[in-house]
Amino acid sequence: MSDWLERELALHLASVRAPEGLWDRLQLPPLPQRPRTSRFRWPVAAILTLAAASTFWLAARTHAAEPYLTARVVHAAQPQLPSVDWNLHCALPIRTSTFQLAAFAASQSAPDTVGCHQCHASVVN
Amino acid sequence: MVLEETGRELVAACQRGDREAFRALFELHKDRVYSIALRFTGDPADAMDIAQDSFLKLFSVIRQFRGESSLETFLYRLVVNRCLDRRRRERRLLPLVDEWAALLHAPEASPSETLLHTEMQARVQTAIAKLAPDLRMVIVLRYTEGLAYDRIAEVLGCSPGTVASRLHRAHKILERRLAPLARESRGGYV
Repeated sequence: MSDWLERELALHLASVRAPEGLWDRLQLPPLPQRPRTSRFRWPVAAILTLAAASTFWLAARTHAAEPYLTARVVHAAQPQLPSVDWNLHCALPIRTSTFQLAAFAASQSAPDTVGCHQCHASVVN
Repeated sequence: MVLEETGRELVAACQRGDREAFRALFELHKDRVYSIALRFTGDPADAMDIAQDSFLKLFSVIRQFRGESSLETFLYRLVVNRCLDRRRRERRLLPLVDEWAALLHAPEASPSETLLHTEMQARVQTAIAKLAPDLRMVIVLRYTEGLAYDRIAEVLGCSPGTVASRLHRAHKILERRLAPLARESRGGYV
């Protein structure tokens, strides 16, 4: 190795004085360690996501089934009312009168031609 | 010998939880720790982080220190491991800017000398920064701390032959990279 390089390395890599603030930094409490449970965060997140997705799926399925059930009850119930115009539909607003109508029409049967406007469900007799 | 005794007494006092002893130990080694970190990373902020981390680690494990090796060697290993483990992006230009500013304010140097020194400093440090970490660390321990081959080997946990080999390779690389600078410094045009 050349003397020039030896001299330059010794010159430019010489030891330096530490800054005055270093001791003050040692007085600060060390940064908090990340909790050990952090390695479980992805599995936990995945489980929570699956649980949330399952909940939404079940809720959506129940909600989707509800108008159909309601329609069946309404279709079965409404024929025996003298004033019914057979303008049946599955919308939620008529659900409040479903059970009164059902109780009243237990022994009646509806015409075969009657169905729901919206879902075309036939009347269950 | 006296220094060794002082060092042992300091370590014993630290192991008893003596706060003043911690301060004395820090004062004894702070420049050494900071210099290695600075010369390895090339960045004062990174060097401060490494020095802080190294001393905190030393103070936390000093009760387990049994004295199989000297405290200096033990401390060197702490610093070296932290330097090598450093995964942060290296910012090499900042210290050069700082040193440039400091040198421009130095009254004893003429502007041309200052400029030449700063340029040399920048090019030497850039060449060192491009070395592989294991080669760079050997260079830093050799030229910043002036450690002998066997001492470097003890710190790095390798053989003196490996240290010699790494130094040789590092020198070759640096000679090749800094050859133009050497010609310029001699004032010749080859």
